[in-house]
Amino acid sequence: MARKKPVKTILSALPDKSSVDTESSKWSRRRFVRNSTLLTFATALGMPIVNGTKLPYGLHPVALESGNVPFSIEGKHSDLVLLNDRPLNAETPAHLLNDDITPNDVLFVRNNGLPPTDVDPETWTLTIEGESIEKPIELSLNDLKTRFTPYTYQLTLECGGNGRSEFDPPAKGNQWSTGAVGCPLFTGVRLKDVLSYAGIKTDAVYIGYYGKDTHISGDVNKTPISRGVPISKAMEEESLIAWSMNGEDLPMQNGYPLRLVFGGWPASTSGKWLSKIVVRNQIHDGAKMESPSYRVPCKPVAPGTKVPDEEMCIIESMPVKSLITYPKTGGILHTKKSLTVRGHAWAGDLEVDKVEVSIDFGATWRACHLKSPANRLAWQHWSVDLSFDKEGYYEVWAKATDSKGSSQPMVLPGWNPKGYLNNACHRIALKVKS
Amino acid sequence: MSWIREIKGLKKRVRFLQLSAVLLLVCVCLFSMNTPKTPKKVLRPITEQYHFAEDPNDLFEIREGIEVQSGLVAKGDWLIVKQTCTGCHSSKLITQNRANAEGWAQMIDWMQETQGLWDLGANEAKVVSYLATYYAPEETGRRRALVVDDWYDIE
Repeated sequence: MARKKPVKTILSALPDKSSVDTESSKWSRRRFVRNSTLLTFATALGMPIVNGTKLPYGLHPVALESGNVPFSIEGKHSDLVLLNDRPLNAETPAHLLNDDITPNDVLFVRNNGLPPTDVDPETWTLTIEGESIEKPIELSLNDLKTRFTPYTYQLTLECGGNGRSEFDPPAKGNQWSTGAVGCPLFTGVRLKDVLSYAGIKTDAVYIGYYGKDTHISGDVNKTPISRGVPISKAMEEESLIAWSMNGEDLPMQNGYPLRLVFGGWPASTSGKWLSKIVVRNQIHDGAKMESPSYRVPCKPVAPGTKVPDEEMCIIESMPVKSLITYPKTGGILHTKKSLTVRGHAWAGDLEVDKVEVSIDFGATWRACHLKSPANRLAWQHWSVDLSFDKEGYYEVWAKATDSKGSSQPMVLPGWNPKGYLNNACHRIALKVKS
Repeated sequence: MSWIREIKGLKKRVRFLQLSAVLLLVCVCLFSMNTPKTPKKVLRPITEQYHFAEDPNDLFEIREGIEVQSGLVAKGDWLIVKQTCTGCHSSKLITQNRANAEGWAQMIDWMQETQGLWDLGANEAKVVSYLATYYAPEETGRRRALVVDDWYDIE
Protein backbone atom coordinates (compact mmCIF):
# COMPACT_ATOMS: atom_id res chain seq x y z
CA MET A 1 0.00 0.00 0.00
CA ALA A 2 2.73 2.37 0.97
CA ARG A 3 4.26 1.98 -2.46
CA LYS A 4 1.09 2.71 -4.34
CA LYS A 5 0.17 5.95 -2.68
CA PRO A 6 3.09 8.10 -3.81
CA VAL A 7 2.68 6.79 -7.34
CA LYS A 8 -0.84 8.09 -7.38
CA THR A 9 0.18 11.36 -5.79
CA ILE A 10 2.90 12.15 -8.23
CA LEU A 11 0.52 11.72 -11.14
CA SER A 12 -1.91 14.19 -9.65
CA ALA A 13 0.92 16.51 -8.73
CA LEU A 14 2.15 16.88 -12.27
CA PRO A 15 2.88 20.50 -12.96
CA ASP A 16 1.09 22.64 -15.46
CA LYS A 17 2.74 23.65 -18.70
CA SER A 18 4.31 26.77 -17.29
CA SER A 19 6.50 24.84 -14.89
CA VAL A 20 7.88 22.61 -17.62
CA ASP A 21 9.39 25.28 -19.75
CA THR A 22 11.39 22.92 -21.91
CA GLU A 23 8.26 21.41 -23.41
CA SER A 24 6.07 23.17 -25.86
CA SER A 25 3.42 20.59 -26.51
CA LYS A 26 0.77 19.26 -24.19
CA TRP A 27 0.87 16.08 -26.21
CA SER A 28 4.49 15.55 -25.60
CA ARG A 29 5.68 12.00 -25.93
CA ARG A 30 8.74 13.02 -23.96
CA ARG A 31 6.56 14.08 -21.09
CA PHE A 32 4.80 10.73 -21.25
CA VAL A 33 8.15 8.95 -21.14
CA ARG A 34 9.38 11.21 -18.35
CA ASN A 35 6.29 10.70 -16.25
CA SER A 36 6.63 6.97 -16.63
CA THR A 37 10.28 7.20 -15.66
CA LEU A 38 9.46 9.32 -12.63
CA LEU A 39 6.90 6.74 -11.63
CA THR A 40 9.60 4.11 -11.76
CA PHE A 41 11.92 6.29 -9.69
CA ALA A 42 9.21 7.12 -7.19
CA THR A 43 8.34 3.46 -6.83
CA ALA A 44 11.95 2.47 -6.29
CA LEU A 45 12.55 5.25 -3.81
CA GLY A 46 9.40 4.53 -1.90
CA MET A 47 8.65 8.22 -2.18
CA PRO A 48 7.98 10.75 -4.89
CA ILE A 49 10.72 13.02 -6.15
CA VAL A 50 9.96 16.61 -5.26
CA ASN A 51 10.15 18.72 -8.39
CA GLY A 52 10.95 15.53 -10.22
CA THR A 53 9.47 16.90 -13.40
CA LYS A 54 12.28 19.43 -13.47
CA LEU A 55 14.92 16.75 -13.47
CA PRO A 56 16.95 17.08 -16.65
CA TYR A 57 16.39 14.41 -19.23
CA GLY A 58 18.41 11.27 -18.83
CA LEU A 59 19.25 12.02 -15.22
CA HIS A 60 18.74 9.32 -12.63
CA PRO A 61 18.30 10.41 -9.04
CA VAL A 62 21.43 9.49 -7.18
CA ALA A 63 19.31 8.37 -4.28
CA LEU A 64 18.68 5.28 -6.35
CA GLU A 65 22.28 4.67 -7.18
CA SER A 66 24.13 4.51 -3.93
CA GLY A 67 24.50 5.91 -0.48
CA ASN A 68 26.37 3.84 1.99
CA VAL A 69 25.73 0.87 -0.26
CA PRO A 70 28.95 -0.89 -1.37
CA PHE A 71 30.20 0.66 -4.58
CA SER A 72 32.88 -0.41 -7.00
CA ILE A 73 34.52 1.38 -9.89
CA GLU A 74 35.30 -0.75 -12.89
CA GLY A 75 39.03 -1.23 -13.28
CA LYS A 76 39.80 0.30 -9.87
CA HIS A 77 40.97 -1.22 -6.59
CA SER A 78 38.11 -1.88 -4.18
CA ASP A 79 39.95 -0.11 -1.34
CA LEU A 80 39.84 3.27 -3.06
CA VAL A 81 37.84 5.66 -0.86
CA LEU A 82 34.75 6.93 -2.62
CA LEU A 83 34.17 10.61 -1.91
CA ASN A 84 31.40 11.20 -4.40
CA ASP A 85 29.60 8.96 -6.82
CA ARG A 86 28.07 11.60 -9.05
CA PRO A 87 30.38 12.90 -10.35
CA LEU A 88 32.74 10.08 -9.47
CA ASN A 89 35.56 11.04 -7.11
CA ALA A 90 37.70 8.47 -5.32
CA GLU A 91 41.05 8.69 -3.57
CA THR A 92 43.81 6.22 -2.82
CA PRO A 93 44.83 5.32 0.74
CA ALA A 94 48.52 6.16 1.19
CA HIS A 95 49.66 2.55 1.68
CA LEU A 96 48.23 1.60 -1.74
CA LEU A 97 50.60 4.09 -3.36
CA ASN A 98 53.73 2.23 -2.24
CA ASP A 99 54.74 1.17 -5.79
CA ASP A 100 57.41 3.29 -7.47
CA ILE A 101 55.12 3.56 -10.50
CA THR A 102 51.44 3.94 -9.62
CA PRO A 103 49.45 1.00 -11.08
CA ASN A 104 46.37 1.73 -13.17
CA ASP A 105 43.92 0.34 -10.63
CA VAL A 106 44.98 2.66 -7.81
CA LEU A 107 45.32 6.03 -9.55
CA PHE A 108 42.71 8.37 -8.02
CA VAL A 109 39.60 9.46 -9.92
CA ARG A 110 38.54 13.09 -10.02
CA ASN A 111 35.65 13.60 -12.43
CA ASN A 112 33.90 16.93 -12.85
CA GLY A 113 31.24 15.52 -15.15
CA LEU A 114 30.10 12.18 -16.45
CA PRO A 115 32.52 10.23 -18.67
CA PRO A 116 31.40 9.50 -22.24
CA THR A 117 29.65 6.16 -22.58
CA ASP A 118 30.16 5.47 -26.27
CA VAL A 119 33.91 5.71 -26.84
CA ASP A 120 35.08 4.26 -30.15
CA PRO A 121 38.86 4.65 -30.55
CA GLU A 122 38.51 4.03 -34.30
CA THR A 123 36.43 7.16 -34.82
CA TRP A 124 37.87 9.32 -31.99
CA THR A 125 39.32 12.59 -33.24
CA LEU A 126 41.31 15.43 -31.75
CA THR A 127 40.77 18.92 -33.15
CA ILE A 128 43.42 21.63 -32.83
CA GLU A 129 42.06 25.11 -33.33
CA GLY A 130 41.69 28.51 -31.69
CA GLU A 131 42.54 32.09 -32.64
CA SER A 132 46.28 31.49 -32.24
CA ILE A 133 46.48 28.43 -34.52
CA GLU A 134 47.61 28.93 -38.12
CA LYS A 135 45.63 26.07 -39.68
CA PRO A 136 43.05 24.13 -37.64
CA ILE A 137 43.50 20.37 -37.95
CA GLU A 138 41.66 17.22 -37.02
CA LEU A 139 43.63 14.10 -36.16
CA SER A 140 42.51 10.54 -35.54
CA LEU A 141 44.07 8.46 -32.77
CA ASN A 142 45.93 6.60 -35.48
CA ASP A 143 47.24 9.89 -36.93
CA LEU A 144 48.59 10.82 -33.50
CA LYS A 145 50.25 7.43 -33.05
CA THR A 146 51.82 7.31 -36.54
CA ARG A 147 52.59 10.89 -37.55
CA PHE A 148 54.38 11.97 -34.39
CA THR A 149 57.15 10.52 -32.24
CA PRO A 150 55.78 8.87 -29.10
CA TYR A 151 57.40 9.50 -25.70
CA THR A 152 56.96 7.84 -22.31
CA TYR A 153 57.39 9.75 -19.05
CA GLN A 154 56.55 9.04 -15.44
CA LEU A 155 54.47 12.06 -14.44
CA THR A 156 53.04 13.15 -11.10
CA LEU A 157 49.35 14.00 -11.21
CA GLU A 158 47.87 15.62 -8.12
CA CYS A 159 44.48 17.23 -7.69
CA GLY A 160 44.71 20.89 -6.65
CA GLY A 161 42.30 20.10 -3.79
CA ASN A 162 44.31 17.18 -2.40
CA GLY A 163 44.35 17.65 1.40
CA ARG A 164 41.27 19.89 1.43
CA SER A 165 39.64 17.93 4.27
CA GLU A 166 42.01 19.40 6.85
CA PHE A 167 41.27 23.10 6.37
CA ASP A 168 39.60 25.04 9.17
CA PRO A 169 37.20 26.71 8.53
CA PRO A 170 36.28 23.91 6.12
CA ALA A 171 36.37 24.48 2.39
CA LYS A 172 33.59 23.30 0.10
CA GLY A 173 34.09 20.51 -2.36
CA ASN A 174 35.29 16.94 -2.32
CA GLN A 175 37.03 16.37 0.99
CA TRP A 176 40.26 14.81 -0.22
CA SER A 177 42.64 13.63 2.47
CA THR A 178 46.02 12.63 1.00
CA GLY A 179 45.11 10.30 -1.85
CA ALA A 180 44.44 12.50 -4.89
CA VAL A 181 47.94 11.89 -6.23
CA GLY A 182 49.76 9.30 -8.27
CA CYS A 183 52.66 8.90 -10.65
CA PRO A 184 52.09 6.41 -13.49
CA LEU A 185 53.99 6.09 -16.77
CA PHE A 186 52.21 7.94 -19.56
CA THR A 187 52.82 7.32 -23.25
CA GLY A 188 51.77 9.77 -25.93
CA VAL A 189 53.02 12.50 -28.19
CA ARG A 190 54.40 15.84 -27.18
CA LEU A 191 51.76 18.54 -27.17
CA LYS A 192 54.33 20.93 -28.67
CA ASP A 193 54.86 18.65 -31.68
CA VAL A 194 51.14 18.55 -32.43
CA LEU A 195 50.62 22.28 -31.87
CA SER A 196 53.65 23.12 -34.03
CA TYR A 197 52.24 20.88 -36.77
CA ALA A 198 49.09 23.02 -36.79
CA GLY A 199 51.19 26.19 -36.53
CA ILE A 200 51.27 28.39 -33.43
CA LYS A 201 50.86 32.11 -33.97
CA THR A 202 53.22 34.45 -32.14
CA ASP A 203 50.37 35.90 -30.04
CA ALA A 204 49.62 32.53 -28.35
CA VAL A 205 49.20 32.87 -24.57
CA TYR A 206 47.34 29.83 -23.29
CA ILE A 207 45.96 26.48 -24.36
CA GLY A 208 42.54 25.16 -23.35
CA TYR A 209 41.06 21.70 -23.65
CA TYR A 210 37.62 20.25 -24.25
CA GLY A 211 36.66 16.65 -23.45
CA LYS A 212 33.74 14.38 -24.21
CA ASP A 213 32.51 14.24 -20.62
CA THR A 214 29.07 15.73 -19.96
CA HIS A 215 27.69 18.00 -17.25
CA ILE A 216 26.07 16.18 -14.31
CA SER A 217 22.87 18.19 -14.77
CA GLY A 218 22.43 16.47 -18.14
CA ASP A 219 22.40 19.89 -19.82
CA VAL A 220 24.26 19.37 -23.09
CA ASN A 221 24.97 23.10 -23.34
CA LYS A 222 27.02 23.04 -20.14
CA THR A 223 30.69 22.05 -20.19
CA PRO A 224 31.74 20.26 -16.98
CA ILE A 225 35.33 21.49 -17.15
CA SER A 226 37.58 23.14 -19.76
CA ARG A 227 40.86 24.31 -18.32
CA GLY A 228 44.39 24.67 -19.63
CA VAL A 229 47.91 25.97 -19.10
CA PRO A 230 50.05 28.87 -20.31
CA ILE A 231 51.73 28.21 -23.66
CA SER A 232 55.14 27.94 -21.91
CA LYS A 233 53.97 24.90 -19.91
CA ALA A 234 52.28 23.46 -23.00
CA MET A 235 55.57 23.59 -24.91
CA GLU A 236 57.57 21.61 -22.32
CA GLU A 237 58.96 18.26 -23.45
CA GLU A 238 57.04 16.32 -20.79
CA SER A 239 53.66 17.86 -21.70
CA LEU A 240 51.88 14.97 -23.39
CA ILE A 241 48.77 14.07 -25.33
CA ALA A 242 48.62 10.54 -23.93
CA TRP A 243 46.70 7.41 -24.87
CA SER A 244 48.47 4.95 -22.63
CA MET A 245 49.10 4.51 -18.92
CA ASN A 246 51.67 1.95 -17.79
CA GLY A 247 51.66 0.36 -21.25
CA GLU A 248 47.90 -0.16 -21.35
CA ASP A 249 45.01 1.91 -22.67
CA LEU A 250 44.09 4.71 -20.28
CA PRO A 251 41.56 3.49 -17.68
CA MET A 252 38.05 4.71 -18.54
CA GLN A 253 37.84 6.93 -15.45
CA ASN A 254 41.28 8.39 -16.16
CA GLY A 255 40.35 9.64 -19.62
CA TYR A 256 40.19 6.76 -22.12
CA PRO A 257 41.01 7.01 -24.98
CA LEU A 258 42.98 10.28 -24.88
CA ARG A 259 44.05 12.88 -22.34
CA LEU A 260 46.47 15.66 -21.63
CA VAL A 261 49.14 15.20 -18.97
CA PHE A 262 50.89 18.15 -17.35
CA GLY A 263 53.05 16.71 -14.59
CA GLY A 264 53.42 18.84 -11.45
CA TRP A 265 50.42 21.09 -12.13
CA PRO A 266 46.90 20.75 -10.72
CA ALA A 267 45.55 17.61 -12.40
CA SER A 268 42.51 19.60 -13.54
CA THR A 269 44.75 21.04 -16.26
CA SER A 270 45.30 17.52 -17.67
CA GLY A 271 42.01 17.22 -19.57
CA LYS A 272 40.47 13.76 -19.93
CA TRP A 273 38.47 12.22 -22.83
CA LEU A 274 40.29 14.85 -24.88
CA SER A 275 38.60 15.89 -28.12
CA LYS A 276 39.75 19.45 -28.74
CA ILE A 277 42.63 21.75 -27.88
CA VAL A 278 42.34 25.46 -28.46
CA VAL A 279 45.34 27.77 -28.60
CA ARG A 280 44.29 31.14 -27.26
CA ASN A 281 45.61 34.69 -27.50
CA GLN A 282 44.30 35.27 -23.94
CA ILE A 283 44.05 33.23 -20.75
CA HIS A 284 41.62 30.43 -21.59
CA ASP A 285 38.10 31.19 -20.35
CA GLY A 286 36.57 27.69 -20.28
CA ALA A 287 34.55 26.20 -17.43
CA LYS A 288 36.38 26.23 -14.07
CA MET A 289 39.04 28.64 -15.33
CA GLU A 290 37.00 31.40 -13.70
CA SER A 291 37.47 32.52 -10.12
CA PRO A 292 37.37 30.97 -7.55
CA SER A 293 37.89 27.54 -9.20
CA TYR A 294 41.48 26.32 -8.96
CA ARG A 295 42.57 29.70 -7.65
CA VAL A 296 44.05 30.86 -4.35
CA PRO A 297 44.23 34.38 -2.88
CA CYS A 298 46.97 36.36 -4.67
CA LYS A 299 48.00 37.62 -1.23
CA PRO A 300 47.85 35.43 1.91
CA VAL A 301 44.66 35.81 3.96
CA ALA A 302 43.57 34.95 7.52
CA PRO A 303 41.48 31.76 7.87
CA GLY A 304 37.85 32.35 6.95
CA THR A 305 38.45 35.57 5.00
CA LYS A 306 36.07 36.33 2.15
CA VAL A 307 38.19 36.98 -0.91
CA PRO A 308 36.80 38.88 -3.93
CA ASP A 309 37.02 36.96 -7.23
CA GLU A 310 39.46 39.43 -8.74
CA GLU A 311 41.91 38.86 -5.88
CA MET A 312 42.19 35.15 -6.61
CA CYS A 313 45.09 33.90 -8.78
CA ILE A 314 45.27 30.75 -10.92
CA ILE A 315 47.27 27.89 -9.38
CA GLU A 316 50.22 26.87 -11.51
CA SER A 317 52.95 24.54 -10.19
CA MET A 318 51.92 22.43 -7.16
CA PRO A 319 53.93 22.81 -3.92
CA VAL A 320 56.51 20.41 -2.44
CA LYS A 321 54.92 17.40 -0.77
CA SER A 322 55.55 13.84 0.35
CA LEU A 323 53.70 10.70 1.39
CA ILE A 324 54.57 7.85 3.72
CA THR A 325 53.45 4.76 1.80
CA TYR A 326 54.96 2.10 4.09
CA PRO A 327 53.94 1.15 6.71
CA LYS A 328 50.21 1.74 6.67
CA THR A 329 49.12 3.97 9.56
CA GLY A 330 48.07 2.08 12.72
CA GLY A 331 50.96 -0.39 12.82
CA ILE A 332 52.04 -2.05 16.06
CA LEU A 333 55.78 -2.73 16.25
CA HIS A 334 57.89 -4.56 18.78
CA THR A 335 60.86 -2.84 20.38
CA LYS A 336 64.31 -3.85 19.19
CA LYS A 337 62.83 -4.35 15.75
CA SER A 338 63.88 -1.92 13.09
CA LEU A 339 61.43 -0.54 10.60
CA THR A 340 62.08 0.71 7.09
CA VAL A 341 59.75 3.59 6.35
CA ARG A 342 59.21 4.40 2.68
CA GLY A 343 57.42 6.91 0.53
CA HIS A 344 57.55 9.37 -2.35
CA ALA A 345 58.15 13.10 -2.62
CA TRP A 346 57.43 15.58 -5.41
CA ALA A 347 57.64 19.32 -5.93
CA GLY A 348 55.54 20.51 -8.87
CA ASP A 349 57.83 21.85 -11.59
CA LEU A 350 60.83 21.53 -9.27
CA GLU A 351 62.83 18.63 -7.90
CA VAL A 352 62.95 17.44 -4.30
CA ASP A 353 66.30 18.06 -2.62
CA LYS A 354 65.78 16.26 0.66
CA VAL A 355 63.28 14.31 2.73
CA GLU A 356 63.43 14.07 6.53
CA VAL A 357 61.32 12.20 9.05
CA SER A 358 60.58 12.88 12.69
CA ILE A 359 59.31 10.43 15.32
CA ASP A 360 59.18 13.01 18.11
CA PHE A 361 56.53 15.39 16.77
CA GLY A 362 58.99 17.54 14.88
CA ALA A 363 61.57 18.08 17.65
CA THR A 364 64.32 16.26 15.75
CA TRP A 365 64.54 15.22 12.12
CA ARG A 366 66.43 12.44 10.41
CA ALA A 367 67.54 12.62 6.77
CA CYS A 368 66.16 9.93 4.44
CA HIS A 369 67.75 8.23 1.48
CA LEU A 370 66.29 10.00 -1.57
CA LYS A 371 66.45 8.77 -5.17
CA SER A 372 66.59 10.97 -8.26
CA PRO A 373 63.39 11.18 -10.30
CA ALA A 374 62.96 8.75 -13.24
CA ASN A 375 62.56 11.85 -15.36
CA ARG A 376 61.66 15.50 -14.79
CA LEU A 377 58.21 15.85 -13.09
CA ALA A 378 58.26 12.29 -11.71
CA TRP A 379 58.00 11.74 -7.98
CA GLN A 380 61.07 10.55 -6.07
CA HIS A 381 61.31 7.60 -3.72
CA TRP A 382 62.71 7.90 -0.21
CA SER A 383 63.35 5.48 2.62
CA VAL A 384 64.79 5.49 6.12
CA ASP A 385 65.51 2.81 8.73
CA LEU A 386 64.02 3.61 12.11
CA SER A 387 64.22 1.88 15.47
CA PHE A 388 62.26 2.63 18.60
CA ASP A 389 63.84 2.12 22.02
CA LYS A 390 60.86 2.96 24.19
CA GLU A 391 57.35 1.60 24.22
CA GLY A 392 54.55 3.96 23.42
CA TYR A 393 52.62 5.90 20.83
CA TYR A 394 54.58 7.44 17.99
CA GLU A 395 53.82 9.47 14.92
CA VAL A 396 56.08 9.41 11.91
CA TRP A 397 56.10 12.73 10.12
CA ALA A 398 57.68 13.21 6.69
CA LYS A 399 58.92 16.54 5.39
CA ALA A 400 60.30 17.22 1.91
CA THR A 401 62.29 20.26 0.79
CA ASP A 402 62.38 21.38 -2.85
CA SER A 403 65.32 22.57 -4.93
CA LYS A 404 64.53 26.19 -4.05
CA GLY A 405 64.57 25.55 -0.29
CA SER A 406 60.81 25.45 0.39
CA SER A 407 59.74 22.77 2.88
CA GLN A 408 56.43 21.25 3.83
CA PRO A 409 54.87 22.94 6.87
CA MET A 410 54.08 20.79 9.91
CA VAL A 411 50.77 22.60 10.44
CA LEU A 412 48.36 23.55 7.67
CA PRO A 413 49.69 25.99 5.10
CA GLY A 414 47.93 29.26 4.22
CA TRP A 415 44.16 28.95 4.43
CA ASN A 416 42.34 29.64 1.17
CA PRO A 417 38.60 29.74 0.44
CA LYS A 418 38.53 26.66 -1.81
CA GLY A 419 40.93 24.55 0.22
CA TYR A 420 43.69 24.01 -2.34
CA LEU A 421 47.40 23.27 -1.96
CA ASN A 422 47.48 21.64 1.46
CA ASN A 423 51.02 20.30 1.58
CA ALA A 424 51.29 19.92 5.36
CA CYS A 425 53.59 17.03 6.22
CA HIS A 426 52.06 13.56 6.09
CA ARG A 427 51.77 11.76 9.42
CA ILE A 428 51.16 8.13 10.33
CA ALA A 429 50.51 6.64 13.79
CA LEU A 430 52.51 3.72 15.25
CA LYS A 431 52.55 1.90 18.57
CA VAL A 432 55.64 0.23 19.95
CA LYS A 433 55.31 -2.66 22.40
CA SER A 434 57.97 -4.67 24.20
CA MET B 1 -9.36 -1.84 -67.52
CA SER B 2 -6.65 0.06 -65.81
CA TRP B 3 -9.13 2.60 -64.32
CA ILE B 4 -10.89 -0.24 -62.39
CA ARG B 5 -7.57 -1.23 -60.84
CA GLU B 6 -6.97 2.43 -59.92
CA ILE B 7 -10.35 2.66 -58.13
CA LYS B 8 -9.58 -0.58 -56.22
CA GLY B 9 -6.23 0.86 -55.19
CA LEU B 10 -7.92 4.08 -54.08
CA LYS B 11 -10.35 2.12 -51.89
CA LYS B 12 -7.45 0.34 -50.22
CA ARG B 13 -5.78 3.65 -49.51
CA VAL B 14 -8.97 5.14 -48.03
CA ARG B 15 -9.33 2.10 -45.75
CA PHE B 16 -5.73 2.47 -44.66
CA LEU B 17 -6.32 6.14 -43.86
CA GLN B 18 -9.40 5.27 -41.83
CA LEU B 19 -7.44 2.72 -39.83
CA SER B 20 -4.67 5.25 -39.23
CA ALA B 21 -7.18 7.83 -38.03
CA VAL B 22 -8.66 5.37 -35.50
CA LEU B 23 -5.19 4.46 -34.24
CA LEU B 24 -4.28 8.13 -33.91
CA LEU B 25 -7.46 8.77 -31.92
CA VAL B 26 -6.61 5.92 -29.53
CA CYS B 27 -3.10 7.34 -29.05
CA VAL B 28 -4.45 10.82 -28.41
CA CYS B 29 -6.86 9.46 -25.80
CA LEU B 30 -4.07 7.54 -24.06
CA PHE B 31 -1.87 10.63 -23.89
CA SER B 32 -4.67 12.90 -22.70
CA MET B 33 -5.39 10.53 -19.80
CA ASN B 34 -1.87 11.20 -18.66
CA THR B 35 -2.16 14.96 -18.99
CA PRO B 36 -3.09 16.98 -15.92
CA LYS B 37 -6.52 18.54 -16.05
CA THR B 38 -5.83 21.30 -13.57
CA PRO B 39 -2.59 23.14 -12.91
CA LYS B 40 -0.92 22.12 -9.67
CA LYS B 41 1.45 24.13 -7.58
CA VAL B 42 4.83 22.48 -7.65
CA LEU B 43 6.45 24.00 -4.62
CA ARG B 44 4.67 23.07 -1.46
CA PRO B 45 5.96 21.73 1.82
CA ILE B 46 6.45 18.03 1.51
CA THR B 47 4.22 17.32 4.49
CA GLU B 48 1.23 18.86 2.73
CA GLN B 49 1.98 17.40 -0.63
CA TYR B 50 2.54 13.77 0.11
CA HIS B 51 1.18 11.45 2.71
CA PHE B 52 2.33 7.95 2.13
CA ALA B 53 2.82 6.41 5.51
CA GLU B 54 1.94 7.02 9.13
CA ASP B 55 5.59 7.59 9.85
CA PRO B 56 7.76 8.19 6.77
CA ASN B 57 10.74 6.82 8.65
CA ASP B 58 9.11 3.38 8.46
CA LEU B 59 9.95 3.30 4.77
CA PHE B 60 13.65 3.75 5.27
CA GLU B 61 16.33 1.73 6.89
CA ILE B 62 17.78 3.83 9.67
CA ARG B 63 20.76 2.56 11.61
CA GLU B 64 22.22 4.46 14.54
CA GLY B 65 20.44 7.62 13.47
CA ILE B 66 21.73 7.44 9.88
CA GLU B 67 19.56 6.62 6.88
CA VAL B 68 21.45 3.78 5.27
CA GLN B 69 20.80 4.56 1.60
CA SER B 70 21.84 8.22 1.69
CA GLY B 71 24.07 8.28 4.75
CA LEU B 72 22.18 11.37 5.98
CA VAL B 73 21.50 12.02 9.67
CA ALA B 74 17.86 10.89 9.94
CA LYS B 75 16.67 13.78 12.06
CA GLY B 76 14.61 16.90 11.43
CA ASP B 77 13.87 17.64 7.78
CA TRP B 78 16.22 15.01 6.41
CA LEU B 79 13.60 13.68 3.99
CA ILE B 80 13.20 17.08 2.33
CA VAL B 81 16.97 17.27 2.03
CA LYS B 82 17.22 13.80 0.53
CA GLN B 83 14.50 14.55 -1.98
CA THR B 84 15.74 18.02 -2.88
CA CYS B 85 19.47 17.38 -3.12
CA THR B 86 19.99 13.82 -4.31
CA GLY B 87 18.04 14.41 -7.51
CA CYS B 88 21.15 15.84 -9.12
CA HIS B 89 24.14 14.87 -7.01
CA SER B 90 25.29 12.27 -4.55
CA SER B 91 24.37 12.62 -0.88
CA LYS B 92 28.10 12.16 -0.32
CA LEU B 93 28.58 15.73 -1.46
CA ILE B 94 26.51 16.72 1.59
CA THR B 95 27.84 14.30 4.17
CA GLN B 96 31.51 15.04 3.45
CA ASN B 97 31.09 18.83 3.70
CA ARG B 98 30.66 21.09 6.73
CA ALA B 99 29.39 24.69 6.82
CA ASN B 100 27.28 27.10 8.82
CA ALA B 101 23.90 28.35 7.57
CA GLU B 102 25.52 31.11 5.53
CA GLY B 103 27.91 28.68 3.89
CA TRP B 104 25.19 26.16 2.98
CA ALA B 105 22.97 28.96 1.64
CA GLN B 106 25.88 30.12 -0.53
CA MET B 107 26.23 26.62 -1.94
CA ILE B 108 22.53 26.59 -2.81
CA ASP B 109 22.89 30.01 -4.47
CA TRP B 110 25.86 28.73 -6.46
CA MET B 111 23.89 25.69 -7.62
CA GLN B 112 21.01 27.93 -8.62
CA GLU B 113 23.25 30.39 -10.46
CA THR B 114 25.45 27.92 -12.29
CA GLN B 115 24.13 24.37 -12.03
CA GLY B 116 20.45 24.72 -12.90
CA LEU B 117 19.00 24.21 -9.40
CA TRP B 118 15.41 25.45 -9.17
CA ASP B 119 13.84 27.81 -6.62
CA LEU B 120 13.34 25.75 -3.47
CA GLY B 121 10.61 28.02 -2.13
CA ALA B 122 9.77 27.48 1.51
CA ASN B 123 11.91 24.36 1.57
CA GLU B 124 15.12 26.36 1.27
CA ALA B 125 15.03 27.52 4.89
CA LYS B 126 14.36 23.96 6.04
CA VAL B 127 17.18 22.55 3.96
CA VAL B 128 19.65 25.18 5.17
CA SER B 129 18.59 24.75 8.80
CA TYR B 130 18.95 20.96 8.61
CA LEU B 131 22.39 21.19 6.98
CA ALA B 132 23.67 23.85 9.38
CA THR B 133 22.46 21.76 12.32
CA TYR B 134 23.72 18.30 11.38
CA TYR B 135 26.63 19.24 9.09
CA ALA B 136 28.06 22.15 11.03
CA PRO B 137 31.78 22.92 11.00
CA GLU B 138 33.92 21.75 13.88
CA GLU B 139 36.93 23.76 14.90
CA THR B 140 39.93 21.63 14.11
CA GLY B 141 42.71 24.19 14.37
CA ARG B 142 45.90 24.02 12.37
CA ARG B 143 46.22 20.23 12.70
CA ARG B 144 43.90 17.65 14.14
CA ALA B 145 44.75 14.43 15.99
CA LEU B 146 45.38 11.31 13.92
CA VAL B 147 42.58 8.77 14.04
CA VAL B 148 43.38 5.10 13.55
CA ASP B 149 40.49 2.79 12.69
CA ASP B 150 42.32 -0.51 12.83
CA TRP B 151 45.54 -1.17 14.69
CA TYR B 152 47.49 -4.10 13.23
CA ASP B 153 50.78 -5.89 13.89
CA ILE B 154 53.69 -5.03 11.64
CA GLU B 155 55.37 -8.30 10.67
